[in-house]
Parts: sequence; structure tokens; C-alpha cells
Amino acid sequence: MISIKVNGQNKQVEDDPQTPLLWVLRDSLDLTGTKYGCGIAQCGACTVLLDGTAVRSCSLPVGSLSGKEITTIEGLAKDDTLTDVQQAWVEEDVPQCGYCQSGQIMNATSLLTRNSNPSDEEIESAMSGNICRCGTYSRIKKAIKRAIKS
Amino acid sequence: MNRRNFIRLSTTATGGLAIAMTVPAVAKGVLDKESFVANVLTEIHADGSITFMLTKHEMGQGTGTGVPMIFCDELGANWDTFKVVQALHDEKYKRFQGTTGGSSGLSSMWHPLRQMAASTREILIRSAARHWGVSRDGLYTENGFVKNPSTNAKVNFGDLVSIAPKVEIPDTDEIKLKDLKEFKLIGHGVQNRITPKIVRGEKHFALDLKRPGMVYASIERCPVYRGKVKTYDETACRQVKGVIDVIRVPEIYEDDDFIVRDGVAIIAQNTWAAMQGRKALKVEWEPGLNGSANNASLTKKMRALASVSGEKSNDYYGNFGDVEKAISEADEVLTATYENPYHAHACMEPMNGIAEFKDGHLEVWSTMQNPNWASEQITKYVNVPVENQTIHILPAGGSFGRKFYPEHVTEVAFLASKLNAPVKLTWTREDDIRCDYNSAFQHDNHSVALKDGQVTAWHTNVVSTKSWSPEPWFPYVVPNKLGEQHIIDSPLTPGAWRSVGAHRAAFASEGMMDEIAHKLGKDPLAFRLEMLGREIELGEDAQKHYNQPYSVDAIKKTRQVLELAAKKADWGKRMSRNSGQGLAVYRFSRSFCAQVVEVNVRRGKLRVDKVTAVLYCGTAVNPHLVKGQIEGAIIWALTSVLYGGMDFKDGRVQQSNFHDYKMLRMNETPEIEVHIVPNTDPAVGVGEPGVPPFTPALMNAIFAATGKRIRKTPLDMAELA
Ligand code: FES
Ligand code: FES
Repeated sequence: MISIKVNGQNKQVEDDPQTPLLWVLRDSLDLTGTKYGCGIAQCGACTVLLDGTAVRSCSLPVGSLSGKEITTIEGLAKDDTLTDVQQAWVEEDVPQCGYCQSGQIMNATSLLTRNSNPSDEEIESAMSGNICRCGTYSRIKKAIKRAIKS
Repeated sequence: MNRRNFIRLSTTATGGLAIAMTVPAVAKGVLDKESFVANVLTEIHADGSITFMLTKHEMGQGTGTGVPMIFCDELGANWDTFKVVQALHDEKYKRFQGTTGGSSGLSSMWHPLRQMAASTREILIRSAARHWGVSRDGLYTENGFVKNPSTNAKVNFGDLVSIAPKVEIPDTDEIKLKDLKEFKLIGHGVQNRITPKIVRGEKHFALDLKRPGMVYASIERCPVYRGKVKTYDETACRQVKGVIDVIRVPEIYEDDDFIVRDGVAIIAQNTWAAMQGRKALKVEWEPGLNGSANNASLTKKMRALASVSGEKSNDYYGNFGDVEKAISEADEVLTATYENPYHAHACMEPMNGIAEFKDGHLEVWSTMQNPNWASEQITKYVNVPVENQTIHILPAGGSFGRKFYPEHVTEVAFLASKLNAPVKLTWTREDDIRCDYNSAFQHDNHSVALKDGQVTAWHTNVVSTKSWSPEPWFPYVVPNKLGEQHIIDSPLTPGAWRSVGAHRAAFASEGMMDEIAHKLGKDPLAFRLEMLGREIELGEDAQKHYNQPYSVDAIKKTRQVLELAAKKADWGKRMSRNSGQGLAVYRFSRSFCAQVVEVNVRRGKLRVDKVTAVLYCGTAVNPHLVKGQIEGAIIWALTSVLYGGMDFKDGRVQQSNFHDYKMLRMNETPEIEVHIVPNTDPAVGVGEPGVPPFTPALMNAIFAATGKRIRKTPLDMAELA
């Protein structure tokens, strides 16, 4: 039994400690907003926050996480109020297929927590770990800039 | 493309029109206590809300927003209370549930839905007239109400549900479609319906669903197309924690369009355990007929056919005049070969599905462009008759042609039939890259005869691995034309990729146009415009070809998008050293797209600075989404130029994941500007037309910047050094 804290709640999971957090979230905890894209830390679809910082949950064994705060896309909005980043995503109407977007939002959230006013280059370099096969990059960038302003 | 597919495709392509003629727009109105069932897709409720059944597949092209918009706007309903429900696969939706693909999702529904909505509108207006005891003349609908301008009275659609079934159903000639100017949503745009769910991470894809007691599957498939399992040993695999079962999945090979690869499935308590189990499985493969194929051997085969005459290509291209004679009399003949590798789809959402088999009934949740086909396969290969199937169609996390092929649905249905628990199948990224239905490997050989500074003949010889049509096409006026093709067996699974065959044909013919322009010392834009409007002597067959409405229309629209693109991109402006502009234009389905690409090449390094795209797509239903599609298509095409191409050796794809099959990222994305040609024609497709012109425009820009002509993708950077 491993104890982890997800979106403010304590959870007990029976998965093998080697199991990547991604599969624990999706299969054991039914938090499926976090997506599988590559499994090898290349695409960012599985991005969650670990103590506020973006990490790739596909490459993080759950056994290493006891006592840490994990935030997933489901945990961003508080009482149904979207965060600035989510709201900016709505206003720019970013998604095409939507599959990569939770990872993008989590990474953008982490970026803006670290740096409240990133330059274009800083946005590009921070977001370059997240693939969007549909090619929504320009709208992601716009959404991040909108979130900065709000 | 075989005949069966042809039929399937043409049903989609023309089905829309057929529907428009035959759909009694309001089926016998039924009063179902609280609601009025206006037709097979639409139910109007007493509270004024409307439920609309979506029969097309949402894959990221905004179809799930655009299609309902058409109905809602023509009807004059309230978008905020217009509920859209994804329809199950069902015989009753047959006429609306063909393949979603070929950029036809919206265009095939445009006319039938408007007719149905206009008819429903007329019913509601007649109901309101009866309700008020006035004539229907002058009444109109707006935002979910019927309004009477002379009395300022209005009545909610919901208050008419009990009258509606009693009024007379209007005849087709009593139905008037709205003028484009009257639309409140179409052309203005609404938010993508999926956005609010996606930003909250709510369940949306099949992969997100869970059934009670569900187990998880991962399949080890033969890495070689048509290869087989020779022997396998599951002992170690069964010892992996969480592994429940091991099931042999035998190959199903119907033809090159439908194959379930030979393999072995691991069933486990969760996805991770299934993947770990796979690692412990020992399989020896019998690679079969494709076991020695590689890029070099295929290239050699293609080259050997470059100058051998093949079968004549389609009429679209046009075959007329005497090419041989014109070539023999030419001052000069330009010849070039343009080479395209195989590409993978690499949708962000890997193939997946859930299936549950209980008491002879099979229920499936998955993503599919072609539910009819999926259902057919389940009947045939899992032995479950249609009446015992329930197929839930979930949105796709990208498809681009990949989920047209429903083998993942067949696989998971097969596994469910062997298990007494619901099962979720997830393909790994490695499965996805290695077992894709790839775009074709293709060489386009062009020979163009020039005499007295004019193009007198154009000969195309396409050598392609089996696939959908290689689609040679161009609108330019040439007196003698011959298109030939050789379609050879494919050592990798052949499939349809974003823009089907158009990206390959466009790369060659639009590259060639640039080569000829430079040869003749003409500006590439001016040369294209000249070739579109040439007043030259043409033989009877050629005249017939250029006079058919299709050609006339193509010439007109090609010109339109070219001219606007040139203007928006400031074509011909002064460029700095090492920089250049390139231009190309192409059509896909009934849309036309021109692009101007600006590049800088310094010390062998390519920088794509800007892409200006102009699209003709009929009425742009949702302009924000349309622009997004063109941006995405350009990024898609640039990805394929920089990082595309499958390397295969011994019949096995060598790449496996995003570290070696790379995708363009935000920091590599150029500035993209998209303009839509304003017009009032019916809406046509937007998902694919942005792909074909990009690669030739880019290569033409590289030529303008460096004088180097690149005729092969992926781009070998060493060639720029
Ligand atoms: S799934 Fe974790 S980075 Fe791709
Ligand atoms: S929106 Fe489809 S992958 Fe990003």
C-alpha cells in the first residue's frame, strides 16, 4: 500500500511501487484527464504538478512519491472556478482534438507559477516539451499570454 | 484503392446530394408527450431545448461543432440550449453515418441538414400561426422562438411541441433555405464544443472510460506486415505481477485495407502490468514475404519503373493530345523525379477501445471514422450479428485517416469474446509507429516539353506503393498531357494519411511548375497565372477536358487563391540575403489552398519564417476552427519534411517513439497567417487542404534562397550546406 496525495486528497494505492504515476492515476484512481502519449518522457501529454512543478507522470514510479503533493488537471479548478490558465484556454478556444491539452495546461500552469511574465522565447522553450500533433501551438502561446495579463 | 473502398468512398462523396433529394425533411411528426421528434436526428423538447444526434466523427476538425451549427442556424434555434449527443452506430442513421474522412464531414451534411432544418422551421412557423390564429406569412424564427413582427409576439419552440405534429408537412418547394446573410452562427463562429470539457480534463475519449471489473490488454504484434507468430513462450509473462491471461490473436487478412496483425495479447489488472507482461513474452516471428524489404530495395524498384509506361491515370488528370510527338519536337525537355517516403500518422491518442461481451451481446466503445465497416468486421470475424452489437463512437484524439481502419475495434471485440470481463485495449506508442497504415512510398516522374518558350506537353509517370489514388492533378492548360502510374505491392501496411495522396502529387507538380518558371526566366506567380489562362490551340479532347465544369471551376478558384495569397504575402518583395519566398497551390476535395512560404537558409541551417495561406472552402462555417485546421495542416506538413519518413529494414519499421520519429514543437513553429476567400458557396472540407501546397512552397522558397532544388522528403539538411 502506497499513500499519495492527489488534488488535496490522501489516496491509498495497491499498485507495484515501480508503476509510473500515470497508470496509477488513470487505471487505479480513475483520473483520466492525464494522458498517455509516449511513455518515455518525450511528449508531455502526461504532465502533472509535483509540489507545484511540472513533471512527466509516465516516467515517475509511484513508489517515490509518498508525502508529495500531486495536482492533476482535474484538481486545477476550485469549486468549479477555472484557473486563469484554463480560462485563457477557453477564451482562445485552443483545443482541436484536445488530447494533448491537459498536459499543455499543466505545463503552462507550472511555467507561470515560476515566472509570472515570461518572454516569447521563455514560453517557447518551456513549452517545447509538449507535442501537439494537431498543431495548436500558436493558440497555446496566445492563451499563455492572455493568462499572463489576467 | 480497391473497388470496395471506391464504393465506400463514393457513397460518402455523393451521398450528401442523394440525401438532399430524398429526405422527407420532417419525418412523420410524432408527439412524444414532452417533445416533438422532428426527424431522425432532432427532438424538440417542451422546455425549448433541442437534442441533436451527431452522426459524424469528431477527430479534432471541429466536425462535432460545425455539423450541429448548420442545423441550429438554419432552424433559428438557440445554440445555448442545443444539446448535441453522439449517435450510436445504428441502421436508422445509415444515410448520415458513412465514413467521416476525405474532409467530407461537413460538406456531406451541409445540404441535407439545411433542408431538414428549414423544413422543421416551416413546421414550427405553421404551428405558431395556428397557435396565434394568424397567417404564417411574415413569421420567422430566431434564437429558439417563432416571432411575429407585426404584433411583436413570440413563442418558444417548446410551447409548440404539441401543435407541431398536427400541422401539415411542407412540400419540398415550400421550403426556403436561408440566405447566408441571415445566419447568426455560420460564418461567425462559436466555441468548439469540446473546449470546456477538455480544459477541465473531463472524460472524453474511449481511453478515459472504465467498466466495472474491467481488465486491460496490450498486444504484441508481428513487426513485419503479413508476418506471423512462429512460436511463443508465455511462462515468464504469466509470472509478471498483475498478468491475468495470455491470448493468441490470429491474423485477419482481408485485403491490404484491413488487417489485424498476427500477435499475442496480454491481459492484466492494469495497463502497466499488461505492458510489463509483454516484455516478458518470448516470441519468434516468421517474417514472411516482406521480411527482407528495406528503403533501398524499394527505391531501386521504383527507379526501375521510372521510364516504363504504366497504366493510365484518372480522368481528373486528363489524358489527351500527342505527348510523344510534342516531346520529340521540343526545344528542351525538363525531367525530374520527386520522392516521397512512407509517413506515420502518430495521432496523440493511440489506438484503443473497450469491449464487453455478455450473453451474446457485444458492446464496444472506441474511436472510428467508419462505424459501418467496424460493425461489418465484428460480424464477420467475431461472429456477433449486427443486432447483437452496440457500438459507441467516441471522439478521436487525432485521426488523420488512421482510425478509418478499424482493426483496433476488431481486436478488442475479439478479446472481449474470449474473456468474461470487459476489456480495455491500449496500443503503445511503439505499436502505433511500427504497425501504422502508412502513407504511400511514391516517386513522381515528370517530363515537360518546352518549345518557343511555351509548355507543349506534360508527362507524369507515378510509381507508388499500393494506396489510395496517387492523385496527379493540376489545373494548368497544356495541349498534350499523359498521366501514367504503376502501383506496386507495399512492404508496409498501406493507408490513407492527411490529404490522402494529394501531398505527394502536389510536391512534384508544384515543384515542377517552379522549375519550369525559372527555366523560362519567368516569375513563378506570373507563370502560374499565365498557365491558367492560356489562349492556345487545343485538340478536341483537351478542349473537352478544360471545358468541363470541374476544370473551369478549378482554374477560377486556383487563380483566386493564388492572387490573394500573393497579395497577402507581398509576393516578390525584397528579401534579405539567404532568404526567399516560395509559392504553391493545390486543391483537395473541393477546397483550394495557396501558400507562400518564407525561409532563411544560412550555413546549412533552415529557418521557416512565415507561411501565408489562403483557403477557398466555400462558406467557412466556423472561421476560427477553419484557420486552426490550416495552421495544423501546415505544421503537419512541415513535420513530415523535417522529421518524416519511415526507415525500414528487414520489413521492420526502425523508429518507435517520439525520440526517433519526431514531431514539430512550439519553438520550431513558423508564424502562420491564414486568410479565407469570402464567398457564399456551400461549405466544403477544411481538414486536409492545407497540407498539399506546403511542401512544394517550402522547397520552392529554399530554391529562391539558395538555388538548390530539393526533390526528396524528408529534407536532408546536408543538401543545404
Ligand atoms: S506520456 Fe509522458 S511524456 Fe509522453
Ligand atoms: S489538440 Fe490534438 S494533439 Fe493537441
